[in-house]
Amino acid sequence: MTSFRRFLLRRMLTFIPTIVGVTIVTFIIAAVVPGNPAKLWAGGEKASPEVVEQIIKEYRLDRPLYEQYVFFMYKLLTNSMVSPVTFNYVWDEILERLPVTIQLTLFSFTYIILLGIPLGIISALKRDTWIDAVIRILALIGLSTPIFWLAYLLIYIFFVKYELTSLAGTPEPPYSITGIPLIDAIIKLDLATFRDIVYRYWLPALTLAYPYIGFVARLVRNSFLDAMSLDFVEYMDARGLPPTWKYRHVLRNSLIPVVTALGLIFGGLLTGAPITETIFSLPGIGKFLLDSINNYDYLGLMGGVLFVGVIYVTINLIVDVTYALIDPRVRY
Amino acid sequence: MVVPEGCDPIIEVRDLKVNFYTYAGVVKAIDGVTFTICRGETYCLVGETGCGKSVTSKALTRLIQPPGRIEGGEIYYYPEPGKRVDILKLSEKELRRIRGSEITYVYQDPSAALDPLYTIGYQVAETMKAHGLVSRIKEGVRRAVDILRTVAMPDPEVRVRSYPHELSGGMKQRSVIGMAIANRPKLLIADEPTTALDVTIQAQIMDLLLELKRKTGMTLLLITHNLGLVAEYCDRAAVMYAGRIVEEAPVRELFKNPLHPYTQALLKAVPNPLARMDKLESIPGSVPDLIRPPRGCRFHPRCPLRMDVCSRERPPEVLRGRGHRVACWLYTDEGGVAGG
Amino acid sequence: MGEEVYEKKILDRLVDLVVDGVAGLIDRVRPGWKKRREARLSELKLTLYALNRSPTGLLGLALVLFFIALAIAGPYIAPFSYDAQLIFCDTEARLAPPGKVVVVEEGSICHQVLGVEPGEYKLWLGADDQGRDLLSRLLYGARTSLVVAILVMAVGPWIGIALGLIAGYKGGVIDEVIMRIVDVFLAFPGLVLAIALSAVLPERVQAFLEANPAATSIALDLFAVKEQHVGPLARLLTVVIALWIVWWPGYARLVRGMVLSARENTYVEAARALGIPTGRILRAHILPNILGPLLVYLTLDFGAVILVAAGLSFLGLGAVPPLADWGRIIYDGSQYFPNALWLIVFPGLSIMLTVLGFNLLGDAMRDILDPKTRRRIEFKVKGR
Ligand SMILES: Nc1ncnc2c1ncn2[C@@H]1O[C@H](COP(=O)(O)OP(=O)(O)OP(=O)(O)O)[C@@H](O)[C@H]1O
Ligand SMILES: [Mg+2]
Repeated sequence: MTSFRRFLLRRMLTFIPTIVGVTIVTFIIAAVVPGNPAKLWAGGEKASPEVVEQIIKEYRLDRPLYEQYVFFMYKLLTNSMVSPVTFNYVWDEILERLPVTIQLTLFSFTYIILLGIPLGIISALKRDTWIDAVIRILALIGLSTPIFWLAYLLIYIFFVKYELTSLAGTPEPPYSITGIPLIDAIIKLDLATFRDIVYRYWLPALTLAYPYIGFVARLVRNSFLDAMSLDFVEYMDARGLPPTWKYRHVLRNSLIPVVTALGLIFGGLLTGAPITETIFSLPGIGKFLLDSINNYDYLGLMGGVLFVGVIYVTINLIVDVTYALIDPRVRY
Repeated sequence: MVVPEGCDPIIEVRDLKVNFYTYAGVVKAIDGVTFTICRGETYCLVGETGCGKSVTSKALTRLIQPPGRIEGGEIYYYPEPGKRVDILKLSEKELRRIRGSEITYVYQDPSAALDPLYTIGYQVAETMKAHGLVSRIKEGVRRAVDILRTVAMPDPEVRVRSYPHELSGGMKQRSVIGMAIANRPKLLIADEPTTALDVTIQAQIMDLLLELKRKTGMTLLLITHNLGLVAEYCDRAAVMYAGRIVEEAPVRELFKNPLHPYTQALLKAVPNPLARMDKLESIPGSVPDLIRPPRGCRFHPRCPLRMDVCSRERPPEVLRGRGHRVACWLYTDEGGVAGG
Repeated sequence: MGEEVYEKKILDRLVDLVVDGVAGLIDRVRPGWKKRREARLSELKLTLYALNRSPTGLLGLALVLFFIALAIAGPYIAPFSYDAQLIFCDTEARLAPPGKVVVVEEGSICHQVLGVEPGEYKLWLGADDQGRDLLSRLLYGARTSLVVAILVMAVGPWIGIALGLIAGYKGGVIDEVIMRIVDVFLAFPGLVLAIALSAVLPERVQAFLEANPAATSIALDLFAVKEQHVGPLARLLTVVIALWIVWWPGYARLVRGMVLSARENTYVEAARALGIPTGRILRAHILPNILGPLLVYLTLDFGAVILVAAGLSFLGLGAVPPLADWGRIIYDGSQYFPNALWLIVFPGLSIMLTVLGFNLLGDAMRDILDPKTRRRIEFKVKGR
């Protein structure tokens, strides 16, 4: 266990430069914004000079860049940074958007797992048959579809024509346990709220999951087939093991690349989906990042990117730990 | 059919043909191989790399994978004296019952036989459970400790819980042998069981196999390209060349009186029988391409004693002395006349 | 000798013709070339034969070639210019549904200012809110997509490949530094980075274009854009730059991994032991080994770039009207949703089919270039 702890510590230490790097890159991009951010924040051309002056003071925009950076980071990390555009604490704003993103992620991930993995396995087992061909082509079509286009087609069918979903608001139960309505509703066995949430989220989640389903199906198929060609599989025939036992071994061996991919997809979903959230008017992290960019709210953007970076490295760590559970060869 | 007197056959192979259908063409890997293994003996297959030893051994329980296919011949297995099973007519399910329990394999590379994600004990137990020896994996793992002890694995109680990567090559091969004997097989096929191991370990593993054979009375088919092993461990041996058996004899007879020019070259090339024979530098020419094998005798392009007939017709098998057969024109009437 | 098992198809003969022809030409210029490359050439032919036997690969190739042909010829065969606002001819042209006929009258503004010949025109795929013919804009849009994809793929991945080669080959501190930078960029949500950059860069790009008339005129020709639309073009080029920065880290990681495993090969070890210069080893031993998988990734990413670029334009970054860009057309059309569906359906289909073409082709190439699956394909080729 101590070696595991040392591994964790080492990994955390390499995270810090990554996170710092991410925020520095954001800061640099923001710092090269043409024009005067203080003026933009104060309301553009009509801004009164006093207000602009005050903003410059408050956000230390007259200080050297490295000092600005340290100041921003300090304020962000202590959640004392107020966005000059929304007048909210940046961190509060992100946390407020989080439940939407988490729910969207959970629904999408369910689609990806429930459809992607079985389709991939079927495709591999039926290799080179028409079933395999159909699944492979569908998977490629999934990867080739612009989801903003798919979103409109699906909205047209399921909202405009048949009204099987809603596109406004986000269902909130009157109680809060975890802060995530979906989970709260499940804990409370509140079927009505649960139905509302499903009604609101099933379509955007499907849109968002669509390309990933194909991606995962393809990956599962290929890594399953790779595992099938491992030497020990042939020897399992020589040992006279039934095919189902053989496939169990193959499945576990093929899981390693799949777990990585699923981990990264989960992380990716958690960091928001700008396009889907925009089209389905869901106020999640993706929309927040997008709004920050469009409003030149680069303090908000830095906060958002910091959040995204932390999620990314955390998920990476979890994936690494999961490896060790699947593969005994991985040691710390 | 040449079998020693009083031979009680356990495996009988007649005119076996195996092809591989590759893009470069049809590889005629096994082309008319006939032999019989007697119950309780140690039978050896020797030959250069690529001559078809492994393919022959896999064909015995129809383990040939696509693009390979058994294209002809007969394979009979006698679980008990007088009880004949036609391997080529069995269903997959019936075959599965035989594989891993009555006929088992030990391959060259133990790392390629073990699933890296499961413990040794689990994999031994699984083999037993698949053949109904134990009803639960847990029970199998307990029994695996004894089996590992039988194959002289150090610390068997610890090692059942080890993963393959935690073991040395020799220990891995011991576990594979453990899996192979767990179900008390009637025939154990050891395909170069020591080639991938350190020289010092090789003798230990061979001795282990011999001892297990003595204890359980099983039959051993030993495949090797090490003539030293043949001399030391085998009762009878067959020399293969390019997908055919060119000579078969009791081991002592084979070493004393090799008949086929290939066997002679082989023994000459390897004056020290303990040396490896990966390549036979002293035989001019190279191993034939099995997509377009030479006509007639497949050895003829390299044969110092070749005659006209050799490149025209496949040599018949000739009996020379007790249990000694050779496929060479030199020992036929015509060849003998032509050559002499 | 391998040939005998193939029953040659017409396409195979075409392959022979092209490969032999090109090889013959090169051989004329550099005598002896063909002889030296004999083995490689026949390997190439076998690979192409295998492609000929992959129906999905051929479909992909057909889609890709069709797309490229349209992108090249599009601006010449389009019935109207990308910015021809037919509402000035016929108010009915505004949001005209597919198949609508518009009338251009003698002496109308449309005739005199936009130079549209008088007559009746059928708008096969309809028109947008300015009465711009959708078919024409899709044809111009093909050009936009192709050029953006080429510009991105000609730079982005190669930065990654170069850094990956260096990191993998040199190891040590250099490797560590490069990979940490890669980590930073991978930890960044790619789309957000691209969006942020596209929001920040346009003015700089425009300034650059104004300062470099030569570059500007090349860009205008490449994108088939009129001179007065330099501003929108600058925004489009911004997307290219943003995607360069987004597209390299993945390649750096990929190539580094491949180099590390290629380095294990005995011949590379031997070459290093012999003291052969690094550059030579990379070029002669490592690059050829990783070229196959790399080619697959490049093909797949060609489609991916088109998809992502369309996503950015959909978000309002990159191309702006009147430039024709598939993603942007969908965005503009979505303002009328659920009416004027054609403005969404057709450009979306164009994107999907184009990207699908690259994906099908890349997928088939993966199967063909991977030795494991290749053997299976060739086994099938034999027709057993
Ligand atoms: N999967 C395959 N595809 C094509 N040809 C094969 C395949 N497996 C075996 N062969 C061919 O069958 C022939 C016999 O192979 P085999 O493995 O039996 O040789 P071997 O005598 O066991 O050699 P070694 O001593 O190297 O193990 C070889 O020439 C090989 O080319
Ligand atoms: Mg072998």
